Amino acid sequence: MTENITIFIADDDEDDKQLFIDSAREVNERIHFVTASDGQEALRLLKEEQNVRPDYIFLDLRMPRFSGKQCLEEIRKDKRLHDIPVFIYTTSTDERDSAELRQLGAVHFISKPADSGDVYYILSVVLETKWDLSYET
Amino acid sequence: MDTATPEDLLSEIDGLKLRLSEAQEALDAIKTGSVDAFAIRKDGKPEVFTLQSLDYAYRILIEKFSEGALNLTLDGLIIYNNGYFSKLIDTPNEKVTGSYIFDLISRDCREKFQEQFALALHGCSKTETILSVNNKEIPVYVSLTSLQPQLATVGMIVTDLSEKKQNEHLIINYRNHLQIQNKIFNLAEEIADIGSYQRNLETGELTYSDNLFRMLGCQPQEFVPSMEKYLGFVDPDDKDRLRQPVSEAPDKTAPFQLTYRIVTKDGKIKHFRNTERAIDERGRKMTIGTIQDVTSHVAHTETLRNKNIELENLNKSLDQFAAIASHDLQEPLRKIRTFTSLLKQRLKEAPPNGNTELLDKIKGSSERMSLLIRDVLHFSRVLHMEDMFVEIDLNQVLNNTLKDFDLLILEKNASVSIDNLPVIEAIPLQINQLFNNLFANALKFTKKGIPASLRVSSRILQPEETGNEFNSRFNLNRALCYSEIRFADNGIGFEQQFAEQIFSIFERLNNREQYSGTGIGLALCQKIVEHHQGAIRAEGRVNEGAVFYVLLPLTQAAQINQIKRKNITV
Amino acid sequence: MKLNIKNMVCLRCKMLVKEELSKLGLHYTSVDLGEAEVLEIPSTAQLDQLRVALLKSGLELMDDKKTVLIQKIKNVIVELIHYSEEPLVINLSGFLSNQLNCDYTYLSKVFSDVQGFTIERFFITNKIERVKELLIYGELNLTEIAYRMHYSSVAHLSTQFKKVTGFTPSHFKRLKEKRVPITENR
Repeated sequence: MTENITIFIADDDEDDKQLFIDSAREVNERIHFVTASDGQEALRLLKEEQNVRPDYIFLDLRMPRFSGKQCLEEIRKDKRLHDIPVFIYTTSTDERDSAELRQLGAVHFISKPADSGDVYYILSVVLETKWDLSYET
Repeated sequence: MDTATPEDLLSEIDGLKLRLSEAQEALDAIKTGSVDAFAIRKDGKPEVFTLQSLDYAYRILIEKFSEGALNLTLDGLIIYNNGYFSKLIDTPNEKVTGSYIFDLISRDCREKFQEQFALALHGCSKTETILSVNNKEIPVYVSLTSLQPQLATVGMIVTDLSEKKQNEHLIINYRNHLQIQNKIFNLAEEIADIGSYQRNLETGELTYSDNLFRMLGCQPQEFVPSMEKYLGFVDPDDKDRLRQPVSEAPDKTAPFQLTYRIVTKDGKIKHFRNTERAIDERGRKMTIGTIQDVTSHVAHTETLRNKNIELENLNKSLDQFAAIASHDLQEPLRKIRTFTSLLKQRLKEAPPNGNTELLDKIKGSSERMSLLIRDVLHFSRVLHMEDMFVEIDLNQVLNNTLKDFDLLILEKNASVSIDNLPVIEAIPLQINQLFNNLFANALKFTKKGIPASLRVSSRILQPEETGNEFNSRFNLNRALCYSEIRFADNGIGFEQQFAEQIFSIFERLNNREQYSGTGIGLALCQKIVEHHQGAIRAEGRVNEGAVFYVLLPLTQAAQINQIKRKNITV
Repeated sequence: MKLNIKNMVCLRCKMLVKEELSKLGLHYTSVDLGEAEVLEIPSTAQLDQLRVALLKSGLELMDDKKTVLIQKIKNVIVELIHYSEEPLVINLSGFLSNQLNCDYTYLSKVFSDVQGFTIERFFITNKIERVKELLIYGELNLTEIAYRMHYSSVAHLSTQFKKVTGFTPSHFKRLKEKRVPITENR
C-alpha cells in the first residue's frame, strides 16, 4: 500500500468523518483525503474537472440537501466518474437499502460500526480488496 | 147420378168423419211435434211435405243451444225447456216441464225476478239472477221476452254465468292480490329508498311510483310527471350528463345507469342512481326505470375514501417517521458507544490527560439524544391530540411568542414588525408551538453582521386562490375561509429547490456543526397546520431571506358536510 | 452445544449466565461475552426457560437461525484462512454473500449484533492468528507469509500485526522461541 491514493468522503457528521480518516490512515498513512459535508458540496467537488479524480468515493446516505443516493445516481451518470468504486458508508443497517444502492451502482454497502476499532478492520478489508466494477449481484 | 140414397149419404158422412178425424189427428200431431212430414195427393200424385224445412231447424237450434231456452206461460209455468237447461239444473226434462219458474229461482232473488218477469210481459227484460235447484246455486243471466201476440207465452233465454262468476272471483282475487302486491311494492320502495317510473314511448306518458315523488320531497302524485319537471330537480352540473343517455335509452338494448345529484323540493341534496331499460310489452314500446337514493352510500364511500386516504397518509408518514427516527435516534447512541470505545483505547495507550475532549463529545451526544426524544414526543403528540378548538386571537399568540424570544431578539439585534392578525378557531397550544418554531428558525438562520429583520403580516385568501399554482397541491377545503399569514425574514435563505424538503422530518440543509437543532421544527409546523385543515409553504432566496406562508382557516368545519368540488364517480 | 447470548457486556453478565445455566442443570465448559458452551443439548423447554430468565436481565438468547448463520459465517472464514491453500480471496463480502446466499448487509448486522464486533474484525483477527501460526512453524519467511495472506506488502502486514497483537511480527517470533512455560493464563 505504498501508492498515493485519494479518497473522497462525504458525510455531514464531523465525528464520523474524522474517525474514518484516522482509521484509514492506520491502514495506509499516505492516503490523501477530500471531504464534503453535504450532498450539494460533494457533487460540486467531484464534478470540478481540475480536481484530482479520487480512487475511492465514500458517501453517507443521509446528508443535507442531496442524499447519498442522489449523489450516487449523479456519479454513475458522469462519464468522468462512473468507473470509480463508490462505497456507501452509512448508519443504516437495512439490507433493503443495501440491495437498492448496490443495484444503483454502489460497490459495497458499509454500515458504520459502533465500535471505533472496527472502522480500522472494515477499511483494511475494503482497501485491500481489488474491487471489480462489473458487480452483478 | 142425382139420386143419392140416405144410405149413400150416411156412408159419405162416415167417410168424411174419418177424414176429419185423420186431419184432426194430423193437426194434433203436427201441433205436438210428433209428425215430421205428411203426404198429400194432389192431382193424383203424392206430395210430401216435411215440417223440417219449416221450424225443425229452429227447434234443433233451440235444442242444441248452448244457452238455456224455455217457454213459459204468462203465469210462469214452464211448458218447454231445452236440453241445455235441464242439464244446467241437472233435472230431467219431464220434471222441469210443468214446474213454475219461480220455484227454480233462489229465494233471495225471487222478488227481483218476479219484477223482471212482470216487465217482460209487456216487452222484454234482462236480469242477473240465481237458480237454486238441488241445493245447487247457479248464477245465470236471463233474457225474458213476451211472445205475444203470436203466442201467449214468455220466452226465456238463460245464460250460465258460473264460469264468468268463477272468473269474476278469480279477477277479484287477482285484484286483491295485486292490491296487496302493490302495497308491498310501495313499502319495499320506501324501505329501500327506491322509486320507479315507466314511460310509454309512443304516447310519451310518464308514470312515477309514489315513492319517487316522496324521494323528490313531494306528495305522491303531487304533479304530472314530465321529463322537464324532473330535470328541474337535477343539479345543473349533472343535467347534461342526464339528457343525452335518456334520449338514447329507447334505442339501446342495454340498460343505462347514471348517478347524479338532485335537490329535493325542500332543498336537500341527494345522489340518485338511475337505471333505465327499454322493454317491449306486447307490442307497446316503453321504458322502465328505477331510481335509488345512494346519498348515504356516496357519503359513506366518500367518508371511506377520505378515511383511507387519511390512513394511507398516516401510514406513510408513520413509516417515514419510523425509518428516519430510527436512524436519527441511533446516531447519538452510536456515538456514545464509539467514543467510549475510543476512550478505552486511548486510556490503554496514553495518560489520562487530553481525554476531556472525548468525554465532552460523549456528554454532547447524550444531550442531543434527550433533545431528540423530547422533540419526537412533541411530534407524535400532535398526531394524537384530541384537543379542543377555541377562538384565539393570533395577535395575542404573536405577543406571547415575542415575549418568549425577547432575549434572543435583543441578542440578534432583531427588529420585528407585525401587522394585525385575525381571530381564528384553533388549538392554542399548537398555534403557540407553530409561531415559536417559525420565530426560532428566523432568529437562527440570520446573516452574520446584519441585523435580523422579521415581518409578520396576514391577509384573507380569495376563494379562487385556494386552487392556484401554490395552493392546489394542499387540497384545501373550499367551504372554509382561509387566512394567509406571512413570516418573512432577511436571513441566509435557501435554494427554492429545497423548499419542500425542509418540511420533512429530520431533514436539514446544514450539518450539525453549522447550525444546531434536531431538524424537527418545520415538520412539526406542517403537522400542526394540517391538523387545523391548513397548509404551510416556503419561498427562499439564497443570502436574501425566506418567507413562510401559513394558511389557516378562520373556522373549522365538521368533515362530513364538506362541499368539495369533486366529481363523484361511482 | 454452543449458545449465543446477546448484550453480554461484563463480568456480572457472565456470572448471571453461569447461574441460570446451572439452575437448569446444564453444565457449561465455557462462558464468554456473547457465547456459552454447554455439554448437553438443551431441550426446547430448557431453552425457553433460559430465554425468559435471561430476558429479565436484558440478555437475549439468540434463536437458532441466527446462531446457525453466525456459525456458518465463522466456519467459512476459518476454512478460508486456515485450510485453503489458494491465495486469499480478494472480495470478502461478495464471497460470503455468495457462499451463504444472503445479503452481506444482513450477515453483517446479525453477526455484529450478536458478536459485538464486525465480520471484518473476525476475519482480520483470524488472519493474524494464521500469521502467528506460520511464524511459529518457521517454514515461510515474512515476505512469503505476506503474499500468502494477501497483504500488499510486508510493511502492511507488520502494521496490522502490531495493531492487533501489540507486537511486531519479529518481536512475536522471538517471544515464541523463548519457550514460555505451559502454565500461561488463557
